[in-house]
Amino acid sequence: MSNFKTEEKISIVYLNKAKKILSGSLFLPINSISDEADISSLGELDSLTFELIVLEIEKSMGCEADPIALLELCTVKDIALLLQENSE
Amino acid sequence: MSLSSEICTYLYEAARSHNGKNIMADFNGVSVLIVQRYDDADHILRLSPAKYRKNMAWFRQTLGASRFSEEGHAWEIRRKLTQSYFNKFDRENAFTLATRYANETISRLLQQTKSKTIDDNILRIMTANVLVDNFFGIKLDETQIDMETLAQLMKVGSDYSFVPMGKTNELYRQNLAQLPDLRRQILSQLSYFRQDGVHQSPFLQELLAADQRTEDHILLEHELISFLAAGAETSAATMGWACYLLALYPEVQEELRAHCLKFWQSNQQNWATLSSLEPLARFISEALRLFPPTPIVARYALEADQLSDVQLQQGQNVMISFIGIQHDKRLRSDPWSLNMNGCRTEKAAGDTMAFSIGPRICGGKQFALLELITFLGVFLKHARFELSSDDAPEFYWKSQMLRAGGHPVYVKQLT
Repeated sequence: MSNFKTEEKISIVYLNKAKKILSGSLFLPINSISDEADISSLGELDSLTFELIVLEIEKSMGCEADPIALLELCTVKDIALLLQENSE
Repeated sequence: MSLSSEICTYLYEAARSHNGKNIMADFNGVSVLIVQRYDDADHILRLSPAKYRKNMAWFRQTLGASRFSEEGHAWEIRRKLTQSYFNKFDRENAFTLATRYANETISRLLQQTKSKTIDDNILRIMTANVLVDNFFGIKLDETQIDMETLAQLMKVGSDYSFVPMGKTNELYRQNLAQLPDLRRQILSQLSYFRQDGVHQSPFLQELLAADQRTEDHILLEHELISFLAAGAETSAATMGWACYLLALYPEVQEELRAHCLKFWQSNQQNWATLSSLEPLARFISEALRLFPPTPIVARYALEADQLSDVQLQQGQNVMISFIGIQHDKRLRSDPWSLNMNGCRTEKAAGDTMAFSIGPRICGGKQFALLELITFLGVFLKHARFELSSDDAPEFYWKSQMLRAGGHPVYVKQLT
């Protein structure tokens, strides 16, 4: 279940960015990641994976992310929304 | 310099300074027993494997879960998936493929007339060609696989391999930042094997079917990476060292060439005949002994245990050094030199120990030996190998042991 207000309209651009981040971080084909997926259901989340997700999000945003916001990320849409909100 | 880049040098130094003895080392604050004794390696790997867990978490974390990294049921289902293909491959077909790609490769090397070193990537492409063609019936050129990308991914993964959990620093952070991009590139390249219309060999069909069984958590791309890393990269690394040894021992090179030329002039140009040429097999074994492409395997003690000279506590990290074991003076009088006169039954020979022993022995050992002997036979038929530098090897490790800067060898056309 997403911790973000997912009823907000999420741009497909940011959904694709989120999936790209997860593909590289979890080492999964991007086609295997659905828009609705929970991150924990996609693969094993270990310390390295989490670090890579953070690195990729911060690289995409061009700035450091709020640690609390990072800890609340549960779904693909959560990541997409975080990226979208930080681009606005 | 990272610890992973220095590990091979460290192991060669340990083999000299503590020859035939196990030693306790400290890697980034983690205590690791370096096993340099054959009898202890035999105990850990073959006689009591249940007491030791394979400790390849870093490989799994960076390159994905695969047969190479997994334990227990996860390993067993992966082994069953692939091992029959590694055991029952058509030897003569593999010989034909290895001959064809070795001919192409030696032509490429001979074109590099001004090069003072052998390009690792040319060897890497050769071994990947044979592997992919033999097991998938697909030409590597038709896929989008770039072996340099895979090599880079393995380098980044290796740099991570000596970082204890929770102890990452800025250097490793910078290094890790490369990982997602490399992974995406590799995933994109390997997506070829999922495309409609791609020839599906029985091997690929089984891998794809396993990928679809969600309960097994087998991902096609992860298995392919492990397959290419273990199957192509290690053989390429060995051929690099073999070329160096040929140049280092020109009289042995001439002797081997005489055997090869006789073989290529005969009307029995097949694997059954080539495999009976003992000196070629012996030379490959010695290359694997002196420069094992996979110089270490890692284990974790699940319970307390007694080795020959040390009492192990539960939870002890153990690193089996094939470099140390294969250079043990108790097993051979001059372990540092090429010895073409060994016997089949000698302990810790390269063609046995370097592939590991026990249940986790390298699954592709027979295939690797076949292609290495064939590559050697073809290379010696066409080229002479001469040193371009007398410098002692500087090692670096990226899941395989390579030579920093490339092997200093001229490849010259035979006249």
